Amino acid sequence: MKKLVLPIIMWSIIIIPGCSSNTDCFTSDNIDQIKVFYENGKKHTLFLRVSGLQEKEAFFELYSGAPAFDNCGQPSTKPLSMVHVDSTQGAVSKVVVEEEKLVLVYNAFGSSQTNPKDVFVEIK
Amino acid sequence: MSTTSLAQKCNQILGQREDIPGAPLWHMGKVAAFNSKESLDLIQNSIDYLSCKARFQKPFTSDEKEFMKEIFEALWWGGQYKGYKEAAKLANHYVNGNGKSIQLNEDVYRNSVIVIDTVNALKRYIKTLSANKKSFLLIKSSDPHFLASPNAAALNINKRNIYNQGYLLKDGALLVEQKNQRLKNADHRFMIQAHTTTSKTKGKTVYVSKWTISSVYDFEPFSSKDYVTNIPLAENLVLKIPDGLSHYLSIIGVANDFIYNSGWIDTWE
Repeated sequence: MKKLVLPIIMWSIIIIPGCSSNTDCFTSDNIDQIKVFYENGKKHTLFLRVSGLQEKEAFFELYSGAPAFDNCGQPSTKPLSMVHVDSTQGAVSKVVVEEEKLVLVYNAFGSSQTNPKDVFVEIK
Repeated sequence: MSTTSLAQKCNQILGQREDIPGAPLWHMGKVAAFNSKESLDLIQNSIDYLSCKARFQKPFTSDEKEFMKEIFEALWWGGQYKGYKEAAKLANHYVNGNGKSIQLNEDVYRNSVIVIDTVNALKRYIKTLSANKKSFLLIKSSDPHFLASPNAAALNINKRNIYNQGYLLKDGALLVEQKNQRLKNADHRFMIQAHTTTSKTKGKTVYVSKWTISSVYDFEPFSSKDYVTNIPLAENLVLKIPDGLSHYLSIIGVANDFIYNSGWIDTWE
């Protein structure tokens, strides 16, 4: 196996992108659909995005309709609203959607280890 | 997933186990070059198997340890090739650095929107302190007086676009602008501090600031969050590595958490 190291390395330098063929991302975001709802007859979709390599940060994103995401997690349309989950404020107790804007409500005494995927969504 | 169903799933994976493949870099290359689903499945099945072992804190064989080490070394090759040299350096150092601290090139920080804006805000704050004859020798972005000042107000989340600008968190950490793939894959959130001295030049006060950033490279253990790092190798072919598995490597001696630093000196008026 040691004798194959150099050709393997050369092959890998040429071949491995560490990313997709269409966009240059080293890592791709995790995108989870949290909720689909309709407001005034318009479809809206709430997603949770988790981004980064060793240090992950989470974001809730609200879209009109249902966007497509490429290999790197980049959406086909811009979000209506995007909020960051600030773990220093505690656990997110709910996500409030009001007039196409997102607001996070934190429980300062909740564990920041709570999975934001399980958060309660309130639509006003 | 409940603990019971997770245990059942892992027992199934452990029961179906084949040998860990050698040369994961080779297989990752096949995925990238030939869209080989077979190679991806081979690597992913091994990752899933080792994740189960890690969740239940079972020991790894020497082949399994070598496999995971080579996965991280493969990230170095991929990152170098695609221009993510800081993230590549850090990933390789995790498995080859023995826990020693390393230095990152300052450029990746100095070109960041949130860093530029925070440095400018801190400079204005330092000048205010200087004018009021207060100490400004060591100022951190987490300084409560800075955070409460008008200088920091413009960095607040309500005044920023997360994607294009990033923002300053309530504890003084800088969240990198999300469009900045290069920095957020190396250091997503960090504090910055300035050690500042002054001198007089032609009657003007000149400030000399040494800016420093210090972060820890580590992964979150398995928890309710269960974060996963996705490595896209080809269109719709993504390798998924649980962060809990990456963390476990530091428990069993395959990897070591470490501190990484960056900094620069800046002369300004």
